[in-house]
Amino acid sequence: MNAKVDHREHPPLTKRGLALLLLALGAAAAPHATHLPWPIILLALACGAWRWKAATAGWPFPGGLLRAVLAVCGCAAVAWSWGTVFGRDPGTALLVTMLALKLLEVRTYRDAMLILFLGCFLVVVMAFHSQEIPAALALIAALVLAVCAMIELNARDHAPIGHPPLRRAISMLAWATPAMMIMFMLFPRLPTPLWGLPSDAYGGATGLAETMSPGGISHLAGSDAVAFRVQFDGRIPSAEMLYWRGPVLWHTDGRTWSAASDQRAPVTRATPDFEPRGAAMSYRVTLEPSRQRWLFALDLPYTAPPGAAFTEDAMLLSEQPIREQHHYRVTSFASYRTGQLSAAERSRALQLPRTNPRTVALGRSWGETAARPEDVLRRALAHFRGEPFHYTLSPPLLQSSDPVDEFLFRSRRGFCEHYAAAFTVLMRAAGIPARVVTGYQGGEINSVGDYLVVRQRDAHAWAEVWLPEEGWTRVDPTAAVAPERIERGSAELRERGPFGMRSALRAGALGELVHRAQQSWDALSVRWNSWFLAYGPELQRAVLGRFGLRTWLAMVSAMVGMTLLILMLVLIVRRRSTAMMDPVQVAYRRFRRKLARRGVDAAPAEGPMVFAERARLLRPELAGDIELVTQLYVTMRYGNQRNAADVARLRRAVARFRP
Amino acid sequence: MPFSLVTLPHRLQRWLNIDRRGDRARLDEAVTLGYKRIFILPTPQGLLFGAMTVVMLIGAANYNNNLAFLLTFLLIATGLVGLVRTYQNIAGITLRPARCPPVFCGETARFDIAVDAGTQPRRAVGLRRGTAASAWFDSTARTITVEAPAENRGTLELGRLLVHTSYPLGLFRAKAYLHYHCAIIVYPRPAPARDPRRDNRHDQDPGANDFIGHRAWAAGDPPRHVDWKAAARSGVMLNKQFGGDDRAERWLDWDEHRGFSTEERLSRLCREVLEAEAAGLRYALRLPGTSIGPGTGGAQRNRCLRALALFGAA
Repeated sequence: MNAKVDHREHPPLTKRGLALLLLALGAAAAPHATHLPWPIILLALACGAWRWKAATAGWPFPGGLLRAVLAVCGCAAVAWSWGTVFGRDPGTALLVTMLALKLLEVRTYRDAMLILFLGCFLVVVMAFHSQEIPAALALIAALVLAVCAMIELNARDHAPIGHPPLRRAISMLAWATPAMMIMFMLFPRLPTPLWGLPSDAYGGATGLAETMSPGGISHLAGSDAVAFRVQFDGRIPSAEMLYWRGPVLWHTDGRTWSAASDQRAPVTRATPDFEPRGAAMSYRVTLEPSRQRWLFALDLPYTAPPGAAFTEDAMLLSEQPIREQHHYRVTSFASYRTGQLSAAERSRALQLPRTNPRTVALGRSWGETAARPEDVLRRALAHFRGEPFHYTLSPPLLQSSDPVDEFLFRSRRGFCEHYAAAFTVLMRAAGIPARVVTGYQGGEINSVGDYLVVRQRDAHAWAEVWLPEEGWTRVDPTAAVAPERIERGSAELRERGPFGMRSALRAGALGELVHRAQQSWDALSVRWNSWFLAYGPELQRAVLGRFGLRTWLAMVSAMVGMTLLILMLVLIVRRRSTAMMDPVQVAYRRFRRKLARRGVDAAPAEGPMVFAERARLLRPELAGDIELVTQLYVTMRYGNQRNAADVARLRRAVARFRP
Repeated sequence: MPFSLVTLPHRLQRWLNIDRRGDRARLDEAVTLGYKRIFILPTPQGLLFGAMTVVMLIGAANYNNNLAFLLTFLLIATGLVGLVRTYQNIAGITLRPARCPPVFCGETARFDIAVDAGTQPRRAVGLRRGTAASAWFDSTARTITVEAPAENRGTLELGRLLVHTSYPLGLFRAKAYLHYHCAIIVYPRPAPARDPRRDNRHDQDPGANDFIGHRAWAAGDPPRHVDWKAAARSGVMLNKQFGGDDRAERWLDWDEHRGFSTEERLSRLCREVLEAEAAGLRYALRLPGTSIGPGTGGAQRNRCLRALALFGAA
């Protein structure tokens, strides 16, 4: 006999099955809506609606020509949106397009299963867009629906027996969870990728850029995205000490600041180049992916974490770009004294292009009149404080070829990068070596988790000047204009700005509640990050090493063994639980066990009547009881009538049955 | 029977007793599907699903994407739980051929299989004989009817039955073969009713039911009244003389249908048995080497038809 099932044997595609299929596909595609172009979303919705109408209202299936036209339109929409059809995002859009068009030709069980698998694939693809908790929950829900649809497609009956498909699906996924956890923990993780990663593999990370120009940092001011989180070993330092050092910019063309005039690789060293003073601050940073090599640390970092080194301008640089969440420990000193300035460094720190003539003239005049560099410093800060300068998140665009002049003498409204740039130009004009430092300032203390959250809106720029006695010294001209920015952080400052709704929310008890909820949510995300997302090759080696699982083979063997064990458990526990459900059968089994202990064993697959007959012959003295129990059991088990009184009678009869 | 430690030795014994006989052993009794009888294989859909999870796994490993790992493992683990559930969907079902009523050749034979689905909810279990379409049942079923066309006179073996399911996920298919020793008797196809002209003549022949003697053959006598045996012995064509009461015994004789093939003779005798039974006669059947009756009623009819069905069988 041929063991193969031919097509006639597949269940028909019912309306219920189709409804669940569409629902599951919708749930799989919905999380992608944020990065799909609208024509694709419309196409997908239209195809789904059409297929449903074809099943319920007798709409005709679209012909091959129409489907081909739609396919071309879909591809065109993808190409129009990204300029290419390759890569993660265009690839996802193409998959959705394909799924939507395939939906229009789903008629059989095989088509339905295939498209459901594609839906599952779409769910997993979403993990490459976001790994946050909401995404994880949405995706697991989508898989529940997909399994639910699979059950319905295979059920083949009209009057459901047992649990409805959704409950059945949830039950199956619940049973699958322990096995999933085992596989998640034990599946050997690769320390290096199997193949080169495409450039957009990790999504577009917002954050500091390599260069700074007017308006470059203020565009981050509206972003609540987390840049990094910090857990201090001791107390969290006060806000004015929280300068998180990022790229140091030496070169300017008058408008844009960059690390160097040429694109040479930065020189790094293994040891810091300064003399620490005062108390050390130790902390652990969890950096969100930035696709840059910078490791932010408090001014100035004294220890370099593994895989990172110091640049010559006292910044930490990782060997690899940060593509995933990255954890590192640093010790910093808030007080320090750097060494001498080399001739090359001095010339770089005094470089000025022939732009912004008024600013340069002003700086030069200060330099000529002041006796010491400190006097110039004071004079400049007094200038920012005394003149009507405004610190604003929405500075006017500076479009002239002398943007610093325009800012300093005309608009006088700017964000931190305007002040840092203007200050540095003034210093250089006065003959004081100076440079711009970008990074983050401050951060929000999460009282739930007792850690500091630094967000993109905390991005900041300040200046450093070289003084003969002190070496490089930090000067923050923004603090002169808006001291509250430094003392209280970006969040509060912003509330006074154009974000009126947020300030209304923050006010009052409700606002407090909202704030508290936000903090709890962030603390939860931190746990998710440190327990779940951080589980990579290193953590796996550390965790499994404790159990003696050190080799690839050991991990795989343990994974297979434990998974099989869990499946055995699934097999056994389910039998027990379903068998335990029906009180009638429980009672009858007890009756049989009692007889079995007295040697009256049930033959294989012997019916209750036949068994009773045999038992009566073997133990004639029990005939009455046997007959009563069998009678009640057969009536309730195989008949339609069952009432509570009869169930109770059966139980009593079995309880007092003493063979 | 539920799983528990008390019944475990008992279950083991049962498995040893029944299931060790293997697939090909013929069965007379009820069989409960156990793990030795059930084998489980991925369906084409299951293979596709497996390939898909491998692709997902490679992607997750390459990007070290933990959520992708989690979802992929959730899918794999659900597939494996589905494997167990598919097995459980047929494990523990007890099947027994209940009724195999005889049919006439050309009709549809129906084997009734008694099913005890046990305590578990079961869905979409198929029962298939040969290459025919499956009969589908769930845990509410008590009897499943397996149909087969009865194409030849004689016996129709139930033969090997396939019990199979791919519920709940359709990724795996659990199946078990049962080879029952059970056959349906297929009676010969009754010959078409004889032509009315001859019927009339037969009916005009008064008291033509009991053999009362011989007379010389005359042209026009029906060939079935010729005593061929006597003719062979003596070389003289003698016609059998019938007479007496209609209620009296009537012999349905193999020898009366000379000139036809064996199957045609059996078909004609079959029709005669049915007609005699319908007319409420006492009748007897005479076949080479055996005779049945005389008698009347269902039992006689069945004995006669059975003898016709099995004629020539060893």
